[in-house]
Amino acid sequence: MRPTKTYTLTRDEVVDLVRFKSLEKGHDPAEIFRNFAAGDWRHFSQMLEAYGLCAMLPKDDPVFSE
Amino acid sequence: MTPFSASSWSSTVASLRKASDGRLAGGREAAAHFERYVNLLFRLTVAHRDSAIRLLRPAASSSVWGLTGGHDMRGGSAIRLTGGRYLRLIALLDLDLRAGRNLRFQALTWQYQHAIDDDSWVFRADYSRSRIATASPPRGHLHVDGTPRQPGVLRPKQPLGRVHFPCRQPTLEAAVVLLADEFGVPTNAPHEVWRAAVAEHEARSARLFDL
Repeated sequence: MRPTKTYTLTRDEVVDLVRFKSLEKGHDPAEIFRNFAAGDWRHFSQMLEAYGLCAMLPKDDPVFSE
Repeated sequence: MTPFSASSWSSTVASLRKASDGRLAGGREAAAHFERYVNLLFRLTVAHRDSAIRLLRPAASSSVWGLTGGHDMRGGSAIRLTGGRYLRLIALLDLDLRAGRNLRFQALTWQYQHAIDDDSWVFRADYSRSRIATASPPRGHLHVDGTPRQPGVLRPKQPLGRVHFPCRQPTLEAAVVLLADEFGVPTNAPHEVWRAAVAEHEARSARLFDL
């Protein structure tokens, strides 16, 4: 096991990564942001990393209402 | 590192104990201790020497963290195992601000799979502190991919892999024991060493769940 890498992400990096992870799995990023904001973590296991990134944003971040 | 004796693992076991204490002490350092704990737990047990995990945290806050398998931020989240297969791991953690800033899981998934990044999964455990809104499965549950031998036991059009077997606290230690003892994944440390370590820490890990 190699040493762990730690990433400290800015708000824009978090948003960009959610978009990347969503598209990679064939989901519309806006849908993932909306689902998270509504507490509807559908496709739970597949999309958990993206939802986890969403949780790093403030609840009132504009990306959740776009 | 491929030592063969129990004594050669003593420093790893001591570091694991220290990291375990640190993750449960709470506060801002808890996530770093948790990351260290996970790394050492897998190093002691079923992780391939080239496997890796990464910790993600937001610059604006230090109370939410993500831990996943792999080093590449845009890559997959699987940990390569000694047996040549993979464990996909994603954990979301935060500090419980109402209860002494204790570290806790918000959500967790671990999945044993044949290949690094496909649907060749064997079993998966999911945990969500909040209910998943589209259904009402138990907070912690286990999925198993397979086909029942008896016909007609499942609801129409429901594959066995979508059945939620209740599993209250799917700890990482439980994953390690399942892989090693039931699926024959080789371990790095001798049985008596890693088994004692897992026994020491698993009950304590339950504190990261439904509190």
